[in-house]
Amino acid sequence: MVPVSALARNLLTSIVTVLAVIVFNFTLIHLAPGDPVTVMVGEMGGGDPELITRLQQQYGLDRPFAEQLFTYVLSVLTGDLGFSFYYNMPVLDLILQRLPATLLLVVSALCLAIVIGTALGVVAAQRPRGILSHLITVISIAGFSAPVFWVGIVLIIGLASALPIFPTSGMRDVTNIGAGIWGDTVDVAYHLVLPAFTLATVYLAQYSRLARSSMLEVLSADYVRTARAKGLPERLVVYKHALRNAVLPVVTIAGLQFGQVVAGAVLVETVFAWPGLGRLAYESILRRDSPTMLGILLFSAVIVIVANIVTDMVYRMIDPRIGARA
Amino acid sequence: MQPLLSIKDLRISFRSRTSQFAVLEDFDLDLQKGETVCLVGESGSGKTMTGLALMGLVPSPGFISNGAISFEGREMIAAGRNRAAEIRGKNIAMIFQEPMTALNPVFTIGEQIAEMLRYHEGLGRKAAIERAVELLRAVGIPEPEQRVHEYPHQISGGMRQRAMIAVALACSPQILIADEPTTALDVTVQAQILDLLEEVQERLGTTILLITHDMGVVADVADRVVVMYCGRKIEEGPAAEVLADPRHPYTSALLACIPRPDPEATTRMKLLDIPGIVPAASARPAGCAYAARCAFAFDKCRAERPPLFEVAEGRSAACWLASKEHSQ
Amino acid sequence: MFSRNGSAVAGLVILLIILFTALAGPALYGVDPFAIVSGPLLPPGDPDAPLGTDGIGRDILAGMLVGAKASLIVGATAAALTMVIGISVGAIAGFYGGRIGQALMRVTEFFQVLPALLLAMTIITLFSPTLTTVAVAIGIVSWTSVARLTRAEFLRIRNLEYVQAARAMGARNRRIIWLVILPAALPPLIVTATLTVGIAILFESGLSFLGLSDPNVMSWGVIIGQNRDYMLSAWWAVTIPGIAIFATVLSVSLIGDGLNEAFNPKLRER
Repeated sequence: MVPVSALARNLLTSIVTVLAVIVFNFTLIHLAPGDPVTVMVGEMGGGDPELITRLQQQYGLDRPFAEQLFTYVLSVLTGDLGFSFYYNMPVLDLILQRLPATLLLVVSALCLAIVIGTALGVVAAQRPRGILSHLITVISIAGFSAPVFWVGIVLIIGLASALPIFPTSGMRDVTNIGAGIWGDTVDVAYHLVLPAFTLATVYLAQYSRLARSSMLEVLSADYVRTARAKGLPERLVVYKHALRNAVLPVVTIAGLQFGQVVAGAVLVETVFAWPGLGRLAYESILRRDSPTMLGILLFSAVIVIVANIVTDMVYRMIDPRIGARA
Repeated sequence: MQPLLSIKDLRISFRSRTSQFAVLEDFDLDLQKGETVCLVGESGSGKTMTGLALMGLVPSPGFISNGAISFEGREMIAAGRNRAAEIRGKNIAMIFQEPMTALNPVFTIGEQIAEMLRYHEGLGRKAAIERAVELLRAVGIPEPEQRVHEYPHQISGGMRQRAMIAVALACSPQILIADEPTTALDVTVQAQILDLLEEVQERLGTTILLITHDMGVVADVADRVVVMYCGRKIEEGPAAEVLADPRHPYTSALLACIPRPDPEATTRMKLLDIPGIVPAASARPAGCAYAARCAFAFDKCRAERPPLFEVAEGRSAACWLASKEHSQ
Repeated sequence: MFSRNGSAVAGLVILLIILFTALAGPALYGVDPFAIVSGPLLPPGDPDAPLGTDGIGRDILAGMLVGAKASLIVGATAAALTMVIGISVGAIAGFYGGRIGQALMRVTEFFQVLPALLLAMTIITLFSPTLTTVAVAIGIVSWTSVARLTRAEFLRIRNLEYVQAARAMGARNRRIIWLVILPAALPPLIVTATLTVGIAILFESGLSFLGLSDPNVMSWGVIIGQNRDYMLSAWWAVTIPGIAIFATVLSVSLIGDGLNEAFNPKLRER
């Protein structure tokens, strides 16, 4: 279905972009005043110049910038993202260890938002002046305007006093160790409810509005009139002929948002102490743990690129017109 | 003989927050089995709205505010009921002006034909696709076995209109409404599509209601012609007689707009040559709506709207000049 | 009947009230937002602190009034920067097209790949957390969508007849870009600018919440961030600043929505 040439061109562009990202991030971090060793040693309270020099030599920080960059690019290309000063483990392992939690959070939130948002938008589009339509307009503006971390906090405050069922912090209960796979799943699911719901509110506002306007546009298309003229029942007209076209922009936006998965989760992960990549990013930035910072920035960019390629392929499959043009 | 379809006193109105006005009024029309009737008029004359009313698809905020439509003697629209949905697609089918946009871009041609057979006739998926291939062959699409799996954007405009006709014919409807089916196409393709419609009619005995603004098309295919202006029928009669001897000045003006055969011309001329503008549906004059543009208008035309006068067997015209007292 | 123009006016009224409060508030209520005025976590309604105190006994109302300025200024500056970068890149890419256009679009795509919030956080941490750094960081990471919109508008407008006429009359490229095409592209850009102000304010509040802002300047996000640990015992310290952020962004969004509708009468049907 997907033309090989388009895929190959995509991959080539992506490799160039990844290289550019590596160079950009590395340069950015080295443009900053003060190097990580000085900051770290300073934080530990020691100011021993000899120690600093030794550490700088150990990490190659005394070499010329071009050489450091070259060494870094080479090691990244061999799959080595460096070693974290702070966590004392390889950056790649650190990232892979945190990735599942973030994926779980963002994918659940996105799925929730896409399914509910699209359904609401589609129903509302059939009565563009109805109550649901106006409600969606209001909710989407409100959802856009509320700071996501604040939504989380309000949920915690509200639920903690009124309905203290769901845990407000972390991903697992410390007392729950050894509960088995089933017990663990239930535990994680409980912890997931609030953060996923918080993140989903923000996405939901966007999807309901997008689905509504997309569906409104499609419903006035000539081919929908044709479908009606064919004597098909309204159910088929709306949910087959119109919906299939109306979801196209939803797919694009979902792909883009999935790409921003790590960055999008930082605030919610911080509010709910969710042990994901976003929190790792935040912590490493605070500690000026540059290998980890660089690693996460690169990893996030790679996720965006992969998500773009996947979105493009999915789009080609569901919209026959694009496939033909390439 | 009982007509296949009969429209009586139809009125279609549009309602806005502040006002209500009619886009079609006092409209009567009988369609006999196997004939081709052309509805002719400029845009805004109500011709497309008439076609959509027959399908029960008058777009909101428009609605049928008066009249009755009966199909094979059964009331379809009367007393607020709307049973058009029961016969739509199956007994009465419609094709549209823009074959580019009238087919759904994300489904194959075959799927869009097969869907009719599966829904209306309960055919299985495979049987429906096989019938779709036959239908594509019947409307003159080459290599139908391949085309059936292609998407609308992969075939030419003329082929798309043929595919659209195949969709409409899928359930062998008694009536085919064609709304400007050739306007968006090249002249050579226009002629092919009109030929195809005539061929279909001969083969299946389908009644065709062809909506057009083009008197040249009327001359080509029509048995009977109904000329519309500002939401009203203003002249009706056998096509040959009306074309040879129009009784309404508007019909004469339309006929004068047919261009001479010109090998250079790529499209037929539109009706822009008649001086003056069409009054808006919300602000129609008290007298004859055409009076302001009519070279023959006199005081009575502006004061009082002429009813339809029967001018000969099966012919009528809504013009004071066609009335008995005037001709005496 | 829900009227969008009505809500746009409501948005304008809310925004004016907020602006007035930000300008006149600190003068009318002369409490130092950094001074410890009373015991910690005093609930609202206290005579010393009408909106209560925070975790170390500072006056929330004073923080709200003084913090408004930083939130609004950083938001507005960051939005202005976003628009300037985005419009410049988009205008040049759309007007010249060809290799320059291609190259600029590559740069835009490159910046779209970078994770916006993470990059902003990195920039702020690396280069001292001042209000300027925060505004610049937000501008650097958010201009791409403005550039794409501007480019699309320029591509559409540059072939219109009156632009061709200006060209035929010997107008220089720079004149055509800024004085002929840009004015025609303004309506969608104005709507985007309004929304960008809202996004920038949210962005700033998120960064301050994470503690990535000037520690010597009070802002709404800072109040929430500093009292995050007390959210269950002192709801007011985290809820009230959030309401202010929400109201500000909401007012701007409502205005943007109203402008959008005013520029596109077709949307009124929806």
